[in-house]
Amino acid sequence: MKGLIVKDIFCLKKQIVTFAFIISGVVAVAVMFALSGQFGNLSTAASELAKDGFDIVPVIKTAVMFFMVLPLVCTGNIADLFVCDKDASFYKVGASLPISLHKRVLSKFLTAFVFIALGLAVDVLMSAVIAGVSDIIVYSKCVSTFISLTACMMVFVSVVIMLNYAGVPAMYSSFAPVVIAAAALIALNAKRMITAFKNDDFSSMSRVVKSIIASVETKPFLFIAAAVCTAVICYFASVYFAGRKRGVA
Amino acid sequence: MDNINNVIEFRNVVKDYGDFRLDNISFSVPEGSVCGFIGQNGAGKTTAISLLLDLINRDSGEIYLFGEPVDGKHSHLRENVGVVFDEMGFHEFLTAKQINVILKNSYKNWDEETFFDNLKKFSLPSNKPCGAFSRGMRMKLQIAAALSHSAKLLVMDEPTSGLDPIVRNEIMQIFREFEMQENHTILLSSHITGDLEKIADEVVFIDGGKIVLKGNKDDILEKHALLKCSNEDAAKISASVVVYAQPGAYGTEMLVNDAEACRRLYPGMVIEPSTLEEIMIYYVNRAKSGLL
Repeated sequence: MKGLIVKDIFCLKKQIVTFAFIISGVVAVAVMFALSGQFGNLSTAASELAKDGFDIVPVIKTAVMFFMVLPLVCTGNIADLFVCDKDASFYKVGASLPISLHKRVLSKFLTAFVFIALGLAVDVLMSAVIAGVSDIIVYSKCVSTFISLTACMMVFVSVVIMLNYAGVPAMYSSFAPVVIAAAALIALNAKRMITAFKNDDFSSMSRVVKSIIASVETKPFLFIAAAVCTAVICYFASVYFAGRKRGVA
Repeated sequence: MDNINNVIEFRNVVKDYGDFRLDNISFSVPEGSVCGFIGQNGAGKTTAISLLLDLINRDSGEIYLFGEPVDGKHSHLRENVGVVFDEMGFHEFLTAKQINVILKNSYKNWDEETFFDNLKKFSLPSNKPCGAFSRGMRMKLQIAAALSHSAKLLVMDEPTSGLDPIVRNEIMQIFREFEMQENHTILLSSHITGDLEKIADEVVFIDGGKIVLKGNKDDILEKHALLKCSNEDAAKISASVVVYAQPGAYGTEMLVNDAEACRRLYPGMVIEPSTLEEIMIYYVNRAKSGLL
């Protein structure tokens, strides 16, 4: 199994270069943004706008968070591994190795999770740096947020891997989890949304969004639990799909 | 023959794709032999090899590898199998060095030293991406890998197709060296029967998903012969010995399946030894004509 993970890491090598490039850019921009919000032009603009009753600190905070989330998001492009294997017809070689089907599938999940963990590590490090030089973000809240987002990424890649084993083309499998999540969110809040649009009162919607954001910041364990459950379900489903086709890498 | 002496055994195996069916095939490959798996393109050779390697599910029948069933639960059996496919299968950006790292972490018996020795022997660069390799080099790379984990069985699907005669000869020499070691077995699928004629002990001939002929290569070559006679004399030949007859303007050429009987019964006729290629062609023509 280790061999297949090594192979996947070789396949992701190109992405790792892109990832490193994005990280360096994002770190620079996020730090500059945070420093400017604390001591520079943004800070001056914020105090002047505060006199007129406008609070732009949350906007600065959101912008910093946005840049910081990018490295984590970049780690989710796991469908590329399947494209890579398909292009090389590696499935024949992979299936002829003395590695069981369970382990072959597990290797894909582990590669994806290692890559996501790398994204989380970068984000946690960045949080420490930015929290150390400015008051724009709170380190503990930031880490909780990133852990929750990491869990979301785990759910995303697990579903992507499962869809690929189920035979969904890579170009669709990457979008499917997002579409499913959006559809689920809309379906769960359909009544509230209809009422909000009818009455032109979006306060209830705003409460939902705020509660989600609050959960992301304060209840990472909930997201982790959901991610673990999804990963386990997706793993067994992937083994089932792969077993039906057999020749998978 | 006792099962344990058969490294490979197919028993009534069926795989139906709808437009193609591997129809109830049974054959075995004894330990220490070279089995030539011959047939034209699309005859079912790759399907049978895919079934043997558990790359696809079969519909019915049983397959045994080293006496154990191939059922998706015995992946450890592949420790002893070296595989060479018609396509390289490794990602084009990988170098031989990187392939070594992948396989070192996949096979328990991987021998790094043997692998790099093989690379040297086959004049393959270890730092160059294998996408830049020629077809011959790609095949040699696969063979180098297949020979580096103490495999007892080599399974090869069309390893020599598309290669020039010099490289083909080199590769056949490698197979000979492998086979000479004790208890080493080879299953070699090819439609280039000339290669197989040089090294095969056993032959399994498949056509249209059915086994047409199987057995010892020398026996098959001994039994079959090309009989040449006039069109009038052709009518005198017993139909039971004729595989397929090809009448021409100046006479008939036919493949017979009992050369010795023909020599005895028809002493005045020209009876020449046939090659595996000729045997294959005549059987395929017979199937096409609906006689099989």
